[in-house]
Amino acid sequence: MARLSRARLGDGAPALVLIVLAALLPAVVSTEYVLLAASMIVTMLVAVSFNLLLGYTGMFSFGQAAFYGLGAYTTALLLNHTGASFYPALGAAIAIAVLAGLLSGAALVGLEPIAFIMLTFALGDLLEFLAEHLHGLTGGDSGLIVSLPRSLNVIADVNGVYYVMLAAATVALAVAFAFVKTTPGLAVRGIREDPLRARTLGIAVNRRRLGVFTLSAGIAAVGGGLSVLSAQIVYPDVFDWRVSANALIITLIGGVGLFSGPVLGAVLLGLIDFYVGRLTTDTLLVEGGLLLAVILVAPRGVTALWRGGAAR
Amino acid sequence: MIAPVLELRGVSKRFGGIRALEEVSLAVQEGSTVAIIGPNGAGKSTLFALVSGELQPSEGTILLAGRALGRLSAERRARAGLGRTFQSARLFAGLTVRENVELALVRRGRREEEVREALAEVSLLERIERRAGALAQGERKRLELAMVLAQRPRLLLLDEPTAGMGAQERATIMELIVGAVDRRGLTMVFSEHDMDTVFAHAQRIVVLDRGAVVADGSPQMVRADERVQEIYLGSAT
Amino acid sequence: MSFVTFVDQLFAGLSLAFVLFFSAAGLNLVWGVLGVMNFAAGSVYMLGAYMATSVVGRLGTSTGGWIAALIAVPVTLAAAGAVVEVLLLRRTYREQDENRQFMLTLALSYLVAGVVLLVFGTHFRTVSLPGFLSGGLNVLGATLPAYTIVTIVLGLLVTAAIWGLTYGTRVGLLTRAAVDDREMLGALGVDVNRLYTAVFAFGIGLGALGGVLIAPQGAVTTNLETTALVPAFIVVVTGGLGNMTGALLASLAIGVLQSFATLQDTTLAQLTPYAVMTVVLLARAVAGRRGLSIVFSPRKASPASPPAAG
Repeated sequence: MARLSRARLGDGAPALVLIVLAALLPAVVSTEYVLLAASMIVTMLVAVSFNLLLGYTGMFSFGQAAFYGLGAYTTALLLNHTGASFYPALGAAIAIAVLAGLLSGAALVGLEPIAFIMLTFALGDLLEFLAEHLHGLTGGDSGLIVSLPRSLNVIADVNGVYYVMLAAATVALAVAFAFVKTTPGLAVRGIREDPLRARTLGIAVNRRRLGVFTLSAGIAAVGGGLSVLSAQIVYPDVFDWRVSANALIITLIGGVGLFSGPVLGAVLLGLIDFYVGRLTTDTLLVEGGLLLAVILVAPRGVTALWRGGAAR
Repeated sequence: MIAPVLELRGVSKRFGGIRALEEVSLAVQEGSTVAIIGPNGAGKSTLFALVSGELQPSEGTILLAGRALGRLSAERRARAGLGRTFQSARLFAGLTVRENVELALVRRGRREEEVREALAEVSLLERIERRAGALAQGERKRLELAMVLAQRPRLLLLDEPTAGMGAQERATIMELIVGAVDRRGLTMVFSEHDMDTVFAHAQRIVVLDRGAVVADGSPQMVRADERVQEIYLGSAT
Repeated sequence: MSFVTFVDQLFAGLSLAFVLFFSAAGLNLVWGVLGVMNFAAGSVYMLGAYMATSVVGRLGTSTGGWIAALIAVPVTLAAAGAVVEVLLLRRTYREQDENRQFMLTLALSYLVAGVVLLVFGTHFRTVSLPGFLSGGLNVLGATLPAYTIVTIVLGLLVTAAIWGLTYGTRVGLLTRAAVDDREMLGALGVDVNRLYTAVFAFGIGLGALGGVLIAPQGAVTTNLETTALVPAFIVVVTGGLGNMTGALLASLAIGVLQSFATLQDTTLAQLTPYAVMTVVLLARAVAGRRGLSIVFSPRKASPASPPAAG
């Protein structure tokens, strides 16, 4: 029985272990590290959504910032203006991002890879532009301050907020895991290996691509919605392309195409940035160097290195 | 009268200035086994790619069971009952043998017993958890065969199913193919280099040369055809 | 709109268009020949602008200082590009993994941005023009900034040079052949490595030139990276990947339309690239459905050669 469940979990096992550890964390570390873990949860979700596209389907998307940002702004606006409680607001934000993913994806997923990269990049840029200029709605560059109920105030109750974030992230991870381990996940991996061959087997390539693009939009939006809790303010730079690029770095460090890759990667990059950030504000050099090193030395990620070779 | 399973009407294909196929017309009746032969570059693979929808004809019409395929995508053709293999087996190299067969079943809903059945039929069951990229050449061909059979096609298009095999292996896989085709009552069109294989298994032979059909008929007729002899005996073989 | 305003906006638009075209042409050339989508193009543009402020800052706001910046910065960065191509990009051609190459250039863009932050800090820089460039010139009754005219003239010269090189020289012939079929080129006994290095360096130099030209037009900040990259992407996609003529037309359309749109609303005018792209892509989709096969890319969209054998 134990053996069977281990086989089913496969490359999801490290993620499960990390979630359990994350749940125990507030009992052992100081507030500073709980906040660090909270920021890791956010970047992890964006990276997981990115990995669904690049790692599982072979689609290189720079659009994750767009959906992350939509998640953040929608959650914030609903909390501020409708008096909705957090989970309904997050749910609505996910719905908006999913809809946006469906519409933009319908136009984009059939493009050739290079054009897909460029236009998903442009999508985030367009939304950033709108967020900067729709002052009435977003407050523009001064940011949108989020009024949160006391129970969700990170200053008043760090651990409470942290557990809300962890719970939502766990559900999102479970959904991603279910996708990856069932028929849709199999179909997209086939598309990643050889789209034309998948077509000759009757697999609806673009429909499957649209499906995974939409799902990953929803998961990135969960990350955005949760970021509102720890940051309590939303700036237009939630749409910045570096959000997507960061997801790429995390996924590459952890292991692309492995379910736990971006989860491990988020922890690793979070720690690196945390300690490097104490020495210098110029983290770009460190991240760029890291990215270069991983691409040249271990293109399948650090995980693949210690597993001693190619991982599935 | 029942429409042929596959029909080509005046199909031509050009790549830039090169004529790969020229005015090809042929009809394949339900349940028949047709071999397409011809020297390298005669247009066999182009013909397969046109039927399966990876390429579009420059002129002419292709019909599947009486229905014109037009610009129908490869995936829709597959769903309409067309199954094909490639000259050098085209597998999902990074996935396991099991997953390769499962992908062929995605459209119909995958079931464990069907996967095992398909793999047992081509004697690959013991390799089920192997990565497809790690298989030997003959095993790759057999896996591709298991995939195309699992699709439950009406029409089977096999592009050189014995390419790169020795005589013994060739006989084994052809036996396997013919057995599966007979059991299911499938229609099969295959291209082939080895003449013994062709004359042993085909009910009808279509000869292509430089993109055009030069002979089409029973093995006896084709064997006797002067132009065919010229093409085959005139060259080194 | 008065005629003078019309001339004003037209020329402002043209100068915008050429700067845009430099980045897009660099991207296009590198993609067409090397098959690499150079994400660092925006960083090169930004770095070019910063370096221009340094060079002019050191040599003084003189004609000599300006000409030095205009030549030295693109040449220096092109040389750096050649080194990067030889040391890094060259390792990746064999696998033909587009994603990995793209990620490599992404890493470079991080490194360039990091270096800029280290050297120039977070404060913006400005650079002023020497006397003869800061004045006005009378064209068709309108008084235009001399700098606009100089940018347009340079743009025309460089564009002519690109076309001359592509269609009039042996290197250009090889470049066109490489865009068509890279594998074939090696078979013809051409030193593909040297060609790739030259093309990459040239592409980087073009982007850097755009950066130098834009430097005196406003504050030089780290934002330049994205403000250059997105329109360049849009131009490349709108004009058709790898299609130089398409890129030039798209640049001109976007530059000129954006300049006129500024008269109505300076904020909304910034959405011009998106608007032009949407219209062109929609038109192409409609035309495509009618059977006019307008291909996205000359290299990838249609199978250029018949399948292996048969």
